[in-house]
Amino acid sequence: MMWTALQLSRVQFAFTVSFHIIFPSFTIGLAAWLVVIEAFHLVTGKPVYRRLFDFWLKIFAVTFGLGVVSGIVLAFEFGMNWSRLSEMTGPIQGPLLTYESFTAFALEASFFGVLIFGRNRSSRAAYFFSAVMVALGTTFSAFWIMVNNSWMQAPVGYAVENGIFIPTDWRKIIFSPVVWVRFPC
Amino acid sequence: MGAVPMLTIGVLAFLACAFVAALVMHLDLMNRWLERPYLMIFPLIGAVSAYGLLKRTKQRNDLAPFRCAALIFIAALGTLACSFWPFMIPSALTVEQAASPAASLNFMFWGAGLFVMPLTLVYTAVVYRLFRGKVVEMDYE
Repeated sequence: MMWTALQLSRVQFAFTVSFHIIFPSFTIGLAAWLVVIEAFHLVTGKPVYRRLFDFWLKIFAVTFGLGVVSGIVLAFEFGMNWSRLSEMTGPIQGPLLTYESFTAFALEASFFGVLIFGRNRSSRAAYFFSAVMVALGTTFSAFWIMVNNSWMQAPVGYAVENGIFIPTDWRKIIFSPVVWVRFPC
Repeated sequence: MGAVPMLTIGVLAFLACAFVAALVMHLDLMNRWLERPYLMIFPLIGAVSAYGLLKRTKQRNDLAPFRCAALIFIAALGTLACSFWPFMIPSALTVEQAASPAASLNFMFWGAGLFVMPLTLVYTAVVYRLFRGKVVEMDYE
């Protein structure tokens, strides 16, 4: 049997996206869990929370790293395996992914550095704040990806001009009912 | 300090090779540099920073070599940008052709560009400040 480029692309994407999603879905929960442990540590001052935090932080660090590198592969596939889709829907998917990296990834990555190396350099409040920002970043990240994927499942707020999807109503795209059924759950 | 002069020369040699190779591969680029000699300011900045880098390293100055090295790369990227402007992909796709429609650019400008970007710069600066200074001794606990 001869594999077509389309089939190979699908197999590659199915494998890489299935491998990738393990890590972000883990870090989204884990980031919030780190905030909870650090809050308990702040309030009670019990050293056991510090030990718990440091234990989960190392796991978070490795998982975060794996999420980033396995995610970059997907970004390349959007451009190469699915170049026609990107060309047609880029005006809508592009800005949504831009918002993902701007509001979520930058926030997560910057404050993640503080969590890993900044314990002795920052106040306890600033350290806690960093943990909250990392959790917020992972959640925003999930949000924008959900908006993008929901638009792919149920496109709204667009017009097709010369075979290109042009956004006509960003509010409809972001506040699509599909997003708000899928994201909070 | 021993490695710095050799590494600098290596980087400069690589950049010079890339520049010459680009000129040979795209002959129209050559015209651009001949027509607008003031563009030479970028390679010139690079050369001056390279000189500064070597000199300041010899003086065992801590901060200046870092700044010079950063300037070399800014100059190199500036040279690249003004060599190919307005093309994103040389002689195939200009910046204007590659850009999204206005509705997408507007959406990015009014949100990400005007609000998120400055905020990102601020917290990045704060985190950089937190980790300022040289690493004296590594400690991973």
